[in-house]
Amino acid sequence: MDISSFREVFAAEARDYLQSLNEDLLEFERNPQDQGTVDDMFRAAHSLKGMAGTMGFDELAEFTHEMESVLDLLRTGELQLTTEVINVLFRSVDTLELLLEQTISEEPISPYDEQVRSLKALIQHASLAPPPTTGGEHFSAELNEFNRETIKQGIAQGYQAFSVSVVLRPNTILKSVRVFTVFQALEQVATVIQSNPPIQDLDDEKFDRQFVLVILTKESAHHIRQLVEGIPEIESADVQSISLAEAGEGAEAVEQAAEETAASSDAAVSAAPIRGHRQDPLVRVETERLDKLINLVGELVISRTQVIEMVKGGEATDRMGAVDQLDRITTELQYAAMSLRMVPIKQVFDRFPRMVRDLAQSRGKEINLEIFGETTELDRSIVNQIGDPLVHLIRNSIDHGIEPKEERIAKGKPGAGTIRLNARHEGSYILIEIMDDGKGLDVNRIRDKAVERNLLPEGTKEISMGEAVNLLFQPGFSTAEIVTDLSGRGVGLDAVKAVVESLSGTISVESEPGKSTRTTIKLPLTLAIIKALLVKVDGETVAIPIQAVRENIQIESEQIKTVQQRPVIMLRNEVLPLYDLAQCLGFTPVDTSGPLPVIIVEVRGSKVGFIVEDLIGQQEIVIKSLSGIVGDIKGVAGATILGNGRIALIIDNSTLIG
Amino acid sequence: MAKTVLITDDTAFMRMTLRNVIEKNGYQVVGEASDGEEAVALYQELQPDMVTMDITMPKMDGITAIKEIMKIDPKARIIVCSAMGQKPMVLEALSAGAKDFLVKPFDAERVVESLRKIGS
Repeated sequence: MDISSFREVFAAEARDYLQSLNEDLLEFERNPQDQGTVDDMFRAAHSLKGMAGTMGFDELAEFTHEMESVLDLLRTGELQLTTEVINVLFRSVDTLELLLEQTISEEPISPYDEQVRSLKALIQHASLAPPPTTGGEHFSAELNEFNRETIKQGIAQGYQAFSVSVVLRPNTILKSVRVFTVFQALEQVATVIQSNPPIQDLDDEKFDRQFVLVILTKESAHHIRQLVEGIPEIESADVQSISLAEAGEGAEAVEQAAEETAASSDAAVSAAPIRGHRQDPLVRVETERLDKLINLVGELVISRTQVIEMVKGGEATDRMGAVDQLDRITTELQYAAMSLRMVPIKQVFDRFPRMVRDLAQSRGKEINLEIFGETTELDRSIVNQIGDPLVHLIRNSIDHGIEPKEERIAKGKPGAGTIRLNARHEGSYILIEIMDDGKGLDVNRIRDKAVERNLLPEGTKEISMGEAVNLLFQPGFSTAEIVTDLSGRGVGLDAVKAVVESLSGTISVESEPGKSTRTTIKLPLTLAIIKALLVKVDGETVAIPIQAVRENIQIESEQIKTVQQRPVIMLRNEVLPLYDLAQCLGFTPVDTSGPLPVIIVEVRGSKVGFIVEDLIGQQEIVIKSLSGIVGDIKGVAGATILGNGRIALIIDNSTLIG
Repeated sequence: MAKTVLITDDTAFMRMTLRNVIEKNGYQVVGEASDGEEAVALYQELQPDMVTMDITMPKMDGITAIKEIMKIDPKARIIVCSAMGQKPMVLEALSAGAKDFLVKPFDAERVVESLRKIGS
């Protein structure tokens, strides 16, 4: 069995574990008493270690092992939870994320020794019971009692007192024995009167890399330093004189050195590999808060409209200026607030290179994926939903667009196909294009298929490219001759179109047969504030999202025809079904005697006419959901508050008619 | 004049490994001993600048050999070589007069550092 086929499963599961570790750490920091959280973290690290080991990802397994050890100490209460511990753990999760991604993508592994050392330092620290605060007090008291006098006497007898701060090299083996050689060397020329940490701790290796000794000697500081640095595996030895006046503060000198130890290990921690993805100047904001802000801004927009209407009644120009200002400020505020919801489409695009690589490989095709405009931003709720449609379209390009290499070369094309993914802004819309230089749409094959599926009458001869594209979006249409594992799973382009339309977007396809296919998705930047056409229906104001509106016409009642007992109108040789919007919404039907305004709206790909009582105009509206007491109503997407304070329903064109 | 080294270890493989590292770094291996007795005899005969001394060996162990050599030459420069988990023995060897210690598996850089610092 080839274990590499589990790689994707491993990656997905490992990412889940890391995500839950992150969440649990946040929870644990808030609520350190919760034994359940720390147990969960321990299990997550343990599972991760096991998985990584099974996959043969040794770096990951090794690092997770250290993390597991720290979590185990936290679990058993041997390690006290401090901010430092939490920080080290958070950074460790970051390091793990990096290690995981590098391992998965088979990139070179960044050094992570520093982070391992931070974890190991915590493990050593844990065994330094009793807890550090009492330990510190105990230590300084001992120094005062025992050694101040000794140092004074020593200095009086012509000795010098030094504090010798020794740092071992990283990865020193048998540290306690190394310390022993330092003692051995020093004791040839000096008397060691104090050590921090205490000798017993040094012997038990309950320290990181640094220890401080207070010695009395007749040698110079320089000589002592040379002596200690002449010992193998000593990184540095700092020798400081303790004067007679300072003898009383000998304790502080040692304490200070100990603090430096802590500071230097802090520095080591912060130098740990926190890189790339964490350096993004991104702020995590709860969606709930954002939604509230958007709502508030919505109110402000409404109030602006109210003021504008009020002032329009008067004529004072300075008042108008004030209102202009309010208009400007609120507009800016609106965009600033909206920007909080905006995320780069990179989040979605990021998964495609790997996907294209894998799919191309399994199809035996050579495909280059080019990505442009990945920093283009759009509403996060749209980003969350646009992934699947894009996946589908890219799979289509790989399966049905790009030809096998030999076929391409025979056609005089480069052997490797190209799929180009491009995102860009256009007004208040974002355009996402998926282009491939494959074989394009085969109009005749689409026609044959459509006839076969009864989507076109038998014997249809010529169809245009436009008609062919429309057929592609019909439910149940598929031109794939062999059902492939991914593209041909019965989810057609109609499903893609449905998602795009649910996001108030549109989708179009252009193709040059034999050369290329370009699919363009046009989406609004945000779903929170939209442009709408306001119409009057049975005395009520109703908003129709502008991107669904094709045109407005006016008809006379005699233009209404009947086909199969259904009212229709003829518009430029097209037969369009005609509905009374009032009736659709359960209002009193419109009086059809006079001239009738009709809004042509696109409903699930076809044009439909809706009779309304009157047109009011275009306006930006803030969408308020109707959830709660009212719930989901067919044909209604939500509501908005108008300038006059009244409520208008927003039409959901995709579900308005059955 | 290159500093001279006597290697003491009961396995030929370890002697070979050490010789390789030592000679590559400009030292001269003047002899190889496979147990403590041989080490003491060769020390007297060759008077090397430095000795590497394994601990666990047949006939005479490394610690006894260190003590014997120190009796002959109190200025002998002996580097004790141990496996993991032989801390008490390493401490005993250092107390007996060994100047430094190396832990197997050997890290070439550590070996060279030890020779350089102990040899100077």
